[in-house]
Parts: sequence; structure tokens; C-alpha cells
Amino acid sequence: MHEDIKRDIIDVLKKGEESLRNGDSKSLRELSNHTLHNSSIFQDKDSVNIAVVVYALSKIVDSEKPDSSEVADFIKKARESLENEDVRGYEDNLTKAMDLVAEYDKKMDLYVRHIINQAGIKKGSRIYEHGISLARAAELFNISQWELMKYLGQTRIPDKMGEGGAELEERLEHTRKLFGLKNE
Amino acid sequence: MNKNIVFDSGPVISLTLNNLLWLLKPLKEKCGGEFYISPAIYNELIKKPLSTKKYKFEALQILPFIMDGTLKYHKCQKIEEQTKKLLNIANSCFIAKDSYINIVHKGEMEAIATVLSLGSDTLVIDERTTRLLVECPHSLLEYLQKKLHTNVDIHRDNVKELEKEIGHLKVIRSFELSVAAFELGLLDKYMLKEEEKLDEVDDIRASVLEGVLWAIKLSGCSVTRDDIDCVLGRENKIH
Repeated sequence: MHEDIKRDIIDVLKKGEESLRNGDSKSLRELSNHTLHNSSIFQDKDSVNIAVVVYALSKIVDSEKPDSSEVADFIKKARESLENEDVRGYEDNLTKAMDLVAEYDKKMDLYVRHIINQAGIKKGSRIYEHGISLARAAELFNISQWELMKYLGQTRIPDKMGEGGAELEERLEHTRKLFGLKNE
Repeated sequence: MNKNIVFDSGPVISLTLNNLLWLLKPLKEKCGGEFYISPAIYNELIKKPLSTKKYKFEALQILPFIMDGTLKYHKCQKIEEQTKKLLNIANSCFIAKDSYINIVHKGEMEAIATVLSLGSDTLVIDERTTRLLVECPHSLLEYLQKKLHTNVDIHRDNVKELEKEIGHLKVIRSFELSVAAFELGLLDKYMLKEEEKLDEVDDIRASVLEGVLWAIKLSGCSVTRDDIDCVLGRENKIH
């Protein structure tokens, strides 16, 4: 694991644990956003996973269903594993944290999967906003381009990104020539 | 002018989500060229959704347009090689924290390689990053730097090579296709007759154009509100 990534994930887990114990979903969402820069640059599975997991946890805290302190214990163990260079232990504890959430209610299993999928779409859209192409963003977060496009359309991301490149008039002129609306 | 057009997955998704796939046939007739998709695009539009519950029905709506040749599936060895080359260059243009940033996906580069292989010059793509990479890769540097809050370097030789390979291509979106469809009268069927007019709709012609452009935007096509206003403003001036 790249040193920058490891350092950032340890920091996110430390703050994430605290936010979980305090039931502070807003901080968790902000933490998840913090991981997006690494997700965009390195595009490694650890940065991508942590972005999704932390965002999903923020949604779960909002729902007030599981006991966040137990989940926080696994987050703590995940951090300690990573600090001790135990990447396998880190991954196992992160998985256990999510499994624990899913255990609370059989129906919650679907709920958690839904939340994780939604988190992937949300984070995918942010990566796209950071300048990574739509197909690459979808691939990174294991979501379909259909889902990502539909979600993006409901956001202000395309407006915030602006245009750049060719002028609209130039594009329209080429299109009109293609379809015989204007002489070539 | 070579009138063959290659589609990325995005524009086909936008058209499908708005029940506008039928436009492809009359548009193709007016154009006089062929409409193509590459294997990776076929995979995203058809194979993947057919293997899940989500968007399966949408994939089934696209399939007949591929079966009847409206959208032609194009695959050849030359494209595979060109895709690898373009992907390698494009994903080695920008550097942050000593790492190249993988900004594009194989599917997007395969669509471009298909355009090149067909000797065409038109790519229909709704997403912004690939579009900028074709039209103005330098503008991506500034954008990435701003969004990633870190120093981003540019590999000038790779950008230069990319510009040489694909800089001449023309990029349009499902947005421009919709404007063309409107101007060709293909959307006239949505215009109410005089006796059917509703109080809520003051100008039916403007409403159809506004409706279709917003529908395309809300389905994820990367188009700004300003672009929509610009097209609507011009239409209002004409009529």
C-alpha cells in the first residue's frame, strides 16, 4: 500500500471511529469526501473501499439502527492492524464492521447492500466531478454507467463542471452538416 | 465528409432512458452514413444489464436496433491494438503525487479507436472528460489541479502525441442529436394540434424543444443550463 494512502486511511479510521461513537454522520460524510482525492489519483481499491465504507457508515448512523459503538470497535481494530502493517487484518476488520451492521436485522442485509450501492454511485459521481471519465468512475466503484448517468443527471455536477473544449455553436454546426441541415 | 458515426454508451443510455431510441433510424437515414458501437460499448449497453435485474428491460429495448443494423457492432484486431495504444497515452498524460492519473476507461478509447479505424471523424459521447481529452487536453490539467487540491504535472510529449492522433475528431452529444432531430421535424409528433392545445402550454414548439433538451440533461448528458438556454433563445428568435 502506498505510504500516502496508508497514512490517510489511518487518519480517516481514527476520525471515523470518533464520529461513529459520537453518532456524527456529518463528520463521516466529510471524511469520506476527504478520501476522494486519493481515490482519484491512485485509484487503488483501498482508497475506493474506504470512501464507500465511511459514506455507508454515515448513512447507517443516520438510520440509528445498529449500535455504532460495536461497529466503532472494529474500525478501531482495522486502524490498529494497518498501523502494524497488517493489511489483511485491516481488510478483515473493515469487512467485520460492515457484516456487523448487516447482522442486526435480516432485512437490514438488503438495506446495507442498498446503502453500499448508493454510496458507490455517490462516490462515483464525485470522482467524475474530479475529472475522471464516467466509465472509469463506474468501473472503480463497481457500478453501472446506467446508474451513474441517471444519478449525475439529477445533480448539479454537469453545471458545476462547466463546458470547456469546443463551443456549442461549433458542435451544432458539425451536427447540422452531418444530418443535411446545412451545406458541407 | 465521412458520415459514419461512432457512439459511446452514454448517448444511447440517454436516448433509451427518454424513450427516444426510435430517433436513431430516421437520423441515420438523414445522415446517410452508418452508426457504430464497439465491443466494450455493447458490453455496457447489452451484456451487463442482461445479466442483472437492473436495466435489463432497457437493454432489451436497445437490442432490436443492433439486430436490425441501425447500430452496427464493429470489431477488428486493428481497433484492439489502437485502443491499447490510446489508453496507454491518455492515462499517461497527467501526473499527481508521482503517479499517472488513469483518467479514461478502455471503452471510451475503444470508441475513439473505432472512429479512427473507420476513417470517420465523429464521436457521439455524453461524458465530459473524454470530450475534453479530444478537444482540449490542456484544459484538463487546470481542472484536475483545481479539483484534486494538489500539484498536477502534464506529460507534454504524451499530450502532443494524443493531439496528433485524435485532436482532429469532432465530438457531439445526445444533446446535439436532439437539436438536430427537432430541426429535422422528427419531434413534430409531440406537437399538439390547434384544437388540442392546453392552457398550460403557451408555445408548444418551444415546449417540445425545452422538454427534450432537459430530459437529455437529466439523464446524465454533460450539458450545462447555459447551453440549453442558448439553444432555446435562438429558437425563440427564429420563431
